[in-house]
Amino acid sequence: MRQNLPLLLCIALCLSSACSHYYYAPNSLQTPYLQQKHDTRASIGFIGGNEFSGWEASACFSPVKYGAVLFNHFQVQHAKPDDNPERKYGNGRLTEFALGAYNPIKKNMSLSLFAGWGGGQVFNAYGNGGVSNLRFERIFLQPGMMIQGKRARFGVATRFNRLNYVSGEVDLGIPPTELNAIRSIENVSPIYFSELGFVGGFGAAPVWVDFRINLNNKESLHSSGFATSTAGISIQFELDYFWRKTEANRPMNSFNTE
Amino acid sequence: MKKLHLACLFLGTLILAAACKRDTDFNYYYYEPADFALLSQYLNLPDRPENYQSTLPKHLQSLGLAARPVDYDKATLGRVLFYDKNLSKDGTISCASCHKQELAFSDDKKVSAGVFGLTGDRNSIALGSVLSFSAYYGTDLFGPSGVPFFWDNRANTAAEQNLASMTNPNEMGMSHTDIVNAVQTQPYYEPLFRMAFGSNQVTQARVSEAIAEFVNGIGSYKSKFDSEAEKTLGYNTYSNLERNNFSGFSAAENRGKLIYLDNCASCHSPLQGRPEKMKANNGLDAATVDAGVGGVTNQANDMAQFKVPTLRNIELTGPYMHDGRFATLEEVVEHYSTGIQNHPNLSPELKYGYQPKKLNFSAQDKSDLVAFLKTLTDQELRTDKRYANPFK
Repeated sequence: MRQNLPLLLCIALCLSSACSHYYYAPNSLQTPYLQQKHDTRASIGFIGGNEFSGWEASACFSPVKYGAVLFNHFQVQHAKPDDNPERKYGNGRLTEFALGAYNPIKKNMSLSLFAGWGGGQVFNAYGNGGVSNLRFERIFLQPGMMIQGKRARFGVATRFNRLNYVSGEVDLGIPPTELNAIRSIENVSPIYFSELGFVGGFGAAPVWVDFRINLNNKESLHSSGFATSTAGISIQFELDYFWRKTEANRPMNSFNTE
Repeated sequence: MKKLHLACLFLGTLILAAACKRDTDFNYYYYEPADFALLSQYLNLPDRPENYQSTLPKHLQSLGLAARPVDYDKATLGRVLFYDKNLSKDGTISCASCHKQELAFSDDKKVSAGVFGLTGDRNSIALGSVLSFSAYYGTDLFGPSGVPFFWDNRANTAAEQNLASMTNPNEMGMSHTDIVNAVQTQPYYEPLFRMAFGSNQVTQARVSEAIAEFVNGIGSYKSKFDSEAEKTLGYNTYSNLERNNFSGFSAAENRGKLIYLDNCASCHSPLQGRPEKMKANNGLDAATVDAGVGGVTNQANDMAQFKVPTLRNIELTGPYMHDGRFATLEEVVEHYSTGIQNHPNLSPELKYGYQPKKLNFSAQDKSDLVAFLKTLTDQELRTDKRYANPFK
């Protein structure tokens, strides 16, 4: 699997549309490997698609047995703004929270289901002085599964989205194809669609390196500036490892004195 | 249990939110809302620039003619400048005062009125007498095949031309500084300059460039003649098919077309593309009254030679000739029929040997020729909102 990941990353990038202006791109579908109360995961990584790239961060905490909260932040950009008014560029971001449940099965598998809400915005400059700035909200339901061994792990999840573009400021001077794409997005919003995410990683507790591919399944959206896929690499820390270790090392008499 | 309830509550809220179709609030704009509000106080401009690009019909394309790309933002700014009377010394004259849209951007006076009651010394040239301003004028791009500006061909570009008119004491009477000051004091120019040039800095060069861009967007190629020529010739303009009857023409118009092709087209262009000659003396006077091109070049053989215009919209652009001496088309035809004078620089096309040609048109010929000339009128140009006065 590990040998195939670079190939999969390349395929994902090639699958992406050639369009250089995007109005949506899938962030990574987080599939935390949760086993017990107080399990805590945090990850940060690089993510990109065709002609855009950025970073994302995620954190997950289990406050109760079988229950967890999830936080995601995703931020990408296409080219960089500069003083040249003819420069095309764009950027987008998304921040979301989710509540969910998990069920550890055997010693090395965890099933999860998260429901979440978030919002973000996507800005594009078209190189002719025209810009667009769209704001959206996303509600999602995401079942997932993670299998983790001593040195490697694999996960898969699907995300059912309700994506609503709540507002936008759009310059009429932008290229007609882009204007049509935005009008189409406005007309069909809220948009229901699903995404599929795969993760494969290696490492050992408490640090894992993960490779991710996220695919947007709704083909009809691809011509409206929806990126077909993203791919990323991230590093994840099992933070509970540190405080559990601290707790384990605490002198016994400290309990006795309480 | 309480936590489970909270989780259920969260999920329920999400489902409810998903069930609601929330209205989206999309605002489409070209100008910043504050800018457009400011512009709308003074101007009737659409919420985005008009498309000023000309797409010529096939018979003109096949002559190798093509309109230059037009910057719509600059053209929009130029349109406002073109109609702005603040660009004259006494605030009474704009470019449009002497180039009226309903008259194919010409004036119905022999010579136009300028500032302080002064008058110009030549008839206002019709900006709409050409297939496309940008495909026709300008020796800067087209070299010798591009038509220079003014009756005496003294300017090479539209920017040079409009600057000369703005600074002519008999026309608009401005200095370069006056032009910049007049523009800077009008609040509506700030956003227009920003859109056109990326900054609100006003310079005389930018003013001239914007006006040039607007007039470069003017095109007249939707006359009855054009629709018939496109139908009959298409791209086949070297076939002499223009001599065949046009099916949409009346008998008089078709006869007039042949008279035109035989007697006028060798200077004015068979298909109203670019003129066949850039300058000519057409025998208005036997002696030089106005030096014309000769006044610019100081060449004896240029004396009393003037620009040869194409005749699009000629029905609308009287009075005729550089001095506006003929009030009607009939008078013009009569001049070529019987009135050509033997000026030393008389164009060879108007001579038999050393004597001026007398075309001696019959009454029917004259009437047919005028009927044909009226097929060159482009009614759409007269009311095209892209060229209309934007001021409230």
